[in-house]
Amino acid sequence: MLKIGDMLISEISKEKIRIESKLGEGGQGTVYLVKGEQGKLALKWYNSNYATGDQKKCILDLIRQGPPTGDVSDCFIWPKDIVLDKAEGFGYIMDLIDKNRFAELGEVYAHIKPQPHKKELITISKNLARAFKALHLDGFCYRDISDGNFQFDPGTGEILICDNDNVGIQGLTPTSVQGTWEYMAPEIVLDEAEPSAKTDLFSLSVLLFKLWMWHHPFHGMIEYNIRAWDLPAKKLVYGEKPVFIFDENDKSNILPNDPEYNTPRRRWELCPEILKGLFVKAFTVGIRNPNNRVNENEWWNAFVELGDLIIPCPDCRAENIWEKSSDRFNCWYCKKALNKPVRLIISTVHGSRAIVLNKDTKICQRHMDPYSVNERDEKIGEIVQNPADPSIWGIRNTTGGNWIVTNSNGVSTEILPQKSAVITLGNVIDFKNGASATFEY
Amino acid sequence: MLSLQKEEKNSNVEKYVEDSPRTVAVKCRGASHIKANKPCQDAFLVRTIKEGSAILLSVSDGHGGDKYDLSEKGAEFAAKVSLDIIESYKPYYYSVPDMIDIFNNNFPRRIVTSWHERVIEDIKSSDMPFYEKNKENPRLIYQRYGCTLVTALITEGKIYICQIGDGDAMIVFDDGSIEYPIPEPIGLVGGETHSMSSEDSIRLWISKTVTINGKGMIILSTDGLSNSFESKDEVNKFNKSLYENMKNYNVVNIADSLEGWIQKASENGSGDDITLVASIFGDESEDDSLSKSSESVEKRKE
Repeated sequence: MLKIGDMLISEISKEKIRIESKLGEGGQGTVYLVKGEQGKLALKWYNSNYATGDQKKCILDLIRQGPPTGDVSDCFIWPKDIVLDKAEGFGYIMDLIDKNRFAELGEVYAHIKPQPHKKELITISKNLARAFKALHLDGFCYRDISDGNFQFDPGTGEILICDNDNVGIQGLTPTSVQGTWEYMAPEIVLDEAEPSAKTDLFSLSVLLFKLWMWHHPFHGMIEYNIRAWDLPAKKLVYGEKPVFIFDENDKSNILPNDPEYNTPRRRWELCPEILKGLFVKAFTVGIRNPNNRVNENEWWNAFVELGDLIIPCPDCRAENIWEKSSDRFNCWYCKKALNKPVRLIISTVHGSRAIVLNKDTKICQRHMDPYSVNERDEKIGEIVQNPADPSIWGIRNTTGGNWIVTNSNGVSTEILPQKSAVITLGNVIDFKNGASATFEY
Repeated sequence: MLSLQKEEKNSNVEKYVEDSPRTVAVKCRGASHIKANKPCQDAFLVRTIKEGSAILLSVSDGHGGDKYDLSEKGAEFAAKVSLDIIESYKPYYYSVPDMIDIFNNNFPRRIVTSWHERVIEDIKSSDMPFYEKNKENPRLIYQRYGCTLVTALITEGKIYICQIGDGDAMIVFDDGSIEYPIPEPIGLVGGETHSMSSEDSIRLWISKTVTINGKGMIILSTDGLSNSFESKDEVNKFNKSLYENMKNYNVVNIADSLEGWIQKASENGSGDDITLVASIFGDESEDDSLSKSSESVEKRKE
């Protein structure tokens, strides 16, 4: 263990660092605030039983390879340098997390940090899906996805994936980490498999479930009736008999009739159908079949779709998600009836998708081509209100080309760049890029 | 030999001392409660466990106010149930990942469920009509027993702390540094606190792990203690001074001094009940005594 005031030298940059204070600790070691020539950083210092040669090699490999590149690289608090002491102890340097901005899920549960609104919750979820997709595409597996290893900004939805020292190449990088019980895939709990990208997918599903439902997918009657939370109990709940609490075909593990379980019950009732379907898949067929787990693309697409269906309540401003199947629609918070929102239905060769039109809605490249790799968020159009009569809404063409709008009488008009097409039922917009759109009320 | 001294000086004070591991607990009925002829609504419990050489501490603060009329019982139940549950984790005391997982996940669920059961059992025996009237909405029953809880497990090398609501957990290290492992919650105003009886209480817990390599002392207290000081610096000074005294003087004398000091603090300050439990760790004599104790020993007012 290090002491406040200790001076150490980093191995790669040969920078002198001073131990300033302790930030926290976990099972593997302690994290300190350190000050060096580059300013304030964090140092994770391993407990002696984790300070192994394999771990050191793993850290050096991670530093050499670097985090996944592209727009997700900022999501990873990646090892930057390694620090040794004379007694064969070691740790690694990483960026400091701004604790005023970023929150752990447990801190949100306990009201220590604010809850993210729906829009930000969707952004957090999308970011998780794309960050782990990038990590897996680089050939890595994370091995210990859990709510303790990621943080988020409740105000913006930005995420940070921490404790990347367990990241490795499946089957090649040795690891002492099997994961966190609640998040382990059943085959790891049963000692039938080692952590891999496929077990990461299971852990990611648990994390997303806890993010949305504030509960564990297997904590129902079986766990409720267990008194001694010992190894056999954990193996039973997470490995031998993992039963989804909302499994329609197996009611053996439903939520107990206890008010303490009202939160997941209420949140499931409010959960959008598209998400319910993915959770059901993840925690029924995905339990025993690693090849049939929900992958990052499925999560990404679902959250992108949900992000397009947000409608703020005009009375209380609570964010609601419009369901295609719902004829009657009430605000989840104030319960007042909401009008069916105006939707733009975009049709492309990839199918059609709905976008709820709000004052700040933007039509992006990804709406036209869900598989576009670059410029996904490039703006194609935006909602505007007529300055003379704000009750008249339109879509402004923010591209460099013309659109064609055809009304219900078959009369076509060109919409030049920076000009707007009035939102009128029956109008069809041809974006001239293979995509067209109609309006629905 | 493990020595245990119990003393009940008067109905307003409860004290327990132990010389190895050096532990002091003092609970004082608040000046305002004495004046209003109300009971002390705090509770504490200290337990030493031979197997695993561990100390278990709990401090609970029953809510004041008419709708929490059974909160002193709620606090007693919380203190007792918490240590019973932590004792049941004994086989895992030295598996750090297991204990972190347990305190983060399983402990909050188990203590809330067990505390609810204990409350329902009690209301059935003490006020059956109220139970019958509210059994479909037990939140109204739990509310009468509302309390906070801070509890700690001290093993060789680690302290695990879990807390719901206000109250303080502080650790003084031998080098003079002080750690407050539990952050303060946001969004609560006007003296409101999270509670064992809160809706969704299983999610309102904060748990932290602290590594202990050398000597030091842990202090758990109800918020009445910190509210008696004008600033955090004053609290820190008090804690450091208590640690020095705990290292150097007879624990019985320390408990006596604390009793006087706490009573005065309550009279001059908030008038609230005040409870403090302090236990030294990393003292070599501690291990000897623990190895000699024959079984789990519970110290509190019987």
